[in-house]
Amino acid sequence: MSLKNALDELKNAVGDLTSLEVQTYIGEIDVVVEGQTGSTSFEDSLKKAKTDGKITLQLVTKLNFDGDGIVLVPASAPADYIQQAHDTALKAGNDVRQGLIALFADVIGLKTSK
Amino acid sequence: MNIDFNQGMPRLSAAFDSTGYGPVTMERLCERIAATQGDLLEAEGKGLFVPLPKSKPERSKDTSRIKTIRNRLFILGYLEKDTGRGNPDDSLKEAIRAFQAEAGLDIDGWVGEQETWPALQELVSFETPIDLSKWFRNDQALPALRRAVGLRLFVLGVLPNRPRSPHEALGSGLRTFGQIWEMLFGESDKTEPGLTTEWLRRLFDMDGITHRLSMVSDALSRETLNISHGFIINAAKIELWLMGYRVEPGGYDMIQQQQLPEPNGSVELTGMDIWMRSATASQYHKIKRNFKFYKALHRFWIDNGYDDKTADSMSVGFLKDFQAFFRVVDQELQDDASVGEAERQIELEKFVLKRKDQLPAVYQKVKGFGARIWDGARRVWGWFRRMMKKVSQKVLEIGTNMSRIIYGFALGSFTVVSDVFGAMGTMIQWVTNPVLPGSDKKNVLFRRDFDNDIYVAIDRSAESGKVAAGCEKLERTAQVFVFGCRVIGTFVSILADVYKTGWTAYFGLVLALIRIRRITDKIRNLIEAYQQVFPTLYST
Repeated sequence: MSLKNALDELKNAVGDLTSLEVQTYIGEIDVVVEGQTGSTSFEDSLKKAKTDGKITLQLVTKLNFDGDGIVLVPASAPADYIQQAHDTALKAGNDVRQGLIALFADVIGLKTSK
Repeated sequence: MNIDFNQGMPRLSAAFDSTGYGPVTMERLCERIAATQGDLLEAEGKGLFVPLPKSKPERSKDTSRIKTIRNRLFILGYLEKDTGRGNPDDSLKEAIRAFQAEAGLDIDGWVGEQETWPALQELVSFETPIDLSKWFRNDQALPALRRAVGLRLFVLGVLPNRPRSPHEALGSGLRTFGQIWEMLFGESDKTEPGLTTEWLRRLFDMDGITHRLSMVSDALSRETLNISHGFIINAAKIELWLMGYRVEPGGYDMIQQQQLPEPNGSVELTGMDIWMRSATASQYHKIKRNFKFYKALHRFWIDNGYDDKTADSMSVGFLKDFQAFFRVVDQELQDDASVGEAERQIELEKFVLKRKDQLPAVYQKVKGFGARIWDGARRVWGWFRRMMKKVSQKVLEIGTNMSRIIYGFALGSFTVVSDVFGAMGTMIQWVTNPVLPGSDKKNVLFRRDFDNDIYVAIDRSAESGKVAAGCEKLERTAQVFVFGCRVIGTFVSILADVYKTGWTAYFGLVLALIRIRRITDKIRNLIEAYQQVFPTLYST
């Protein structure tokens, strides 16, 4: 993809950089995977799968970049690989935000590098 | 190539002008990044900096590199003659294919950065370390390596001619090399000199040869000198060539006697006699007039702060104290090893800022660089430091060597930065696609929503190993994106700083490329690390 097209995509894709929420579900993944390509939106597909009991919410973490955070702790500890997937998504989301914020700072001159 | 350094970078200038005091928006961010990339592409198109294309030689405007490739294939015997042409014609492509076949590489007729160029560098360059394990198959040296061994023996004065084919016998040359090695350095070895990794490692290690020559005992016998003086003189010629002096490696035949006719008849002197200063005054005159080696040596000693008379004596009597020459070079190499990119960057930036008006000279001299752009970088830095300390920093101009340093230094940064800009589109695509990398249909789905929140869906029967692999991929993708943001952000920020101080247009670009060099090694290492994980990243 050309940089110009990618930048256009970036303009549309970057919405709220002030918070990050990660929700992790367990269940029948094919239900939500199919939901991505069908006529219904991913969110609708996810909602329906939850209602039908085909997936269940395991972990939620919300980070507000003013310093607050919310962590939903499940009654019983999830398997390690589930926790790992959740933590990875949280870290990746956080990294991407930090990268974008640094890019803003450098390119638009919120700071200069001497 | 005529480059006006007061022109160029129009998009970025416009972006800085139009959005200098505007609000911090995504529009402005994207505008500046796109403007910078557009200007970098234009600079490349105009020939300001031209990295080697990853494919499609027809697109290359880097005539200097193509000339170097042509010359290297010629000296390895893949071309009958070196036409000096800067375009990749059919005969060059055929020679490249022949080289690739003999080097055990993919045969595509093009010298790309990934494989064929580094292979050529290893075989021909004096400063690029050779990984000999790559050049043997079933304990047999690949034909390309055999040619390179022949070439190395020739330029070191051990063989009389350059290699013409991979089938030429190398045994006698390697035995002579082994004999010289033992006589000069006193390192006896139980293994017979031959096409073994032990002996080839010595043959291809120019730094090691120079270091050992600097340590040779003063009391060499005449017999030792008789056998080894061609090797010593040619090693010095290689060092002088790498440092930018006007002399070509090879060509000194240690066996052939030199005829130096006198008014009263012909006096026959051996090459050794000449450089032992055994000749008459009139013969010295002929040496001075006719030997490029003498002229280069003389210049070297002048550059080291000696007066003309002393430099003359040290040059004509080179073999009497050749160790002195190699001690200077060896010391510079050792000093250079302790100098980091940041220090080089500061030294060079100071120099360039004082000589802004001379910068166009760099481009007038690019055509004359030949292979020395790609070889001798460490030695030419030693030369630069010597010039700044010992001689004439006030009068030092942007001559050939300074052009080598400036062009090579800035080109290195340009290549890295433009690589990252080229890959940024793919990086952005990864992180803006709703389905994030690491997802698969059966085990785990990482899904980004319009607000950049993330949903993770894990199948009830997922394999934990597959989920872990997906996690690793997502994590690395995010790291690559952050890394790209850092590089691009840093570069645009440096450009902005340079612009603020009034250095705009292509001069500002050159200055920014020199300035970012302090971190390009780090960037390059990261690129290599990421290329292993994402092999397609830099080919898009």
